[in-house]
Amino acid sequence: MSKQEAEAKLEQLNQRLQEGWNNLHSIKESQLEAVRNVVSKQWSEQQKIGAEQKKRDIRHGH
Amino acid sequence: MDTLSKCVEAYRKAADLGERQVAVEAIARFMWPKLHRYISAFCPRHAVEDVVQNSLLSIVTHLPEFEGDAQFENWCFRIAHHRLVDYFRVEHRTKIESLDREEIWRIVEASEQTTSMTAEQRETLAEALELIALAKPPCAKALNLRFIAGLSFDELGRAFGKSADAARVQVRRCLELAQQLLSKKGATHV
Repeated sequence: MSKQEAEAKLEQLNQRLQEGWNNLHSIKESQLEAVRNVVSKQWSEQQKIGAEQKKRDIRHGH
Repeated sequence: MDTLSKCVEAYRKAADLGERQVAVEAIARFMWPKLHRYISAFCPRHAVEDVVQNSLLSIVTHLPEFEGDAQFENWCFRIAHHRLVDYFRVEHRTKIESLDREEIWRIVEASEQTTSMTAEQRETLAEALELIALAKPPCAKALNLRFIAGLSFDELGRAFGKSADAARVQVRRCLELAQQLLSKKGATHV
């Protein structure tokens, strides 16, 4: 087995394991829910900051 | 543009919360198994899910600060690395629990849910595993992290406290040593 062949075989193993890992360890609904909560919270904060900035701009005549 | 870059682009362009949620969910679904595999290489099994979850939530929290383009996956792994460091700061554990042969085959078999495997491919994988099994420490560790845990050279460098190029050289050297051992083993069987 040449060095290139050995590396290619190991890369195949690596890819096959990633594929198996994707099938065995997909994200669960509860974990996605936690992600959604972070995004919602962040969105609300950004909207709030944006609205306050808008008020300030109006007050300063921009 | 790859799947992940498209998701990041969709996140940036999201006009409302719904669009942003869809983009982030796609990122989370894509990154979860990759982070899981990476963290499993370092963490004791009982802690893996928690560290992956913390990593993912950190990634989502810091997403608005991400400014790069092609390096998003690396950026995610850097965050996961920080969460690992946080974990070990509390737990003071450094021992890596590598997967045993049976577990590796279980994961390989699971890949057949999406891509079937020929007898020849199975043999190739068995040879690759044989090569890794022959390696001695610290080479066994390097080859395990690169090919079983799937770390990139960047991540491997970070794990070993060296550059990605130095990690690449180390893996090549280890591969050579394992091959030599395989040849010797083959010679003794003749």
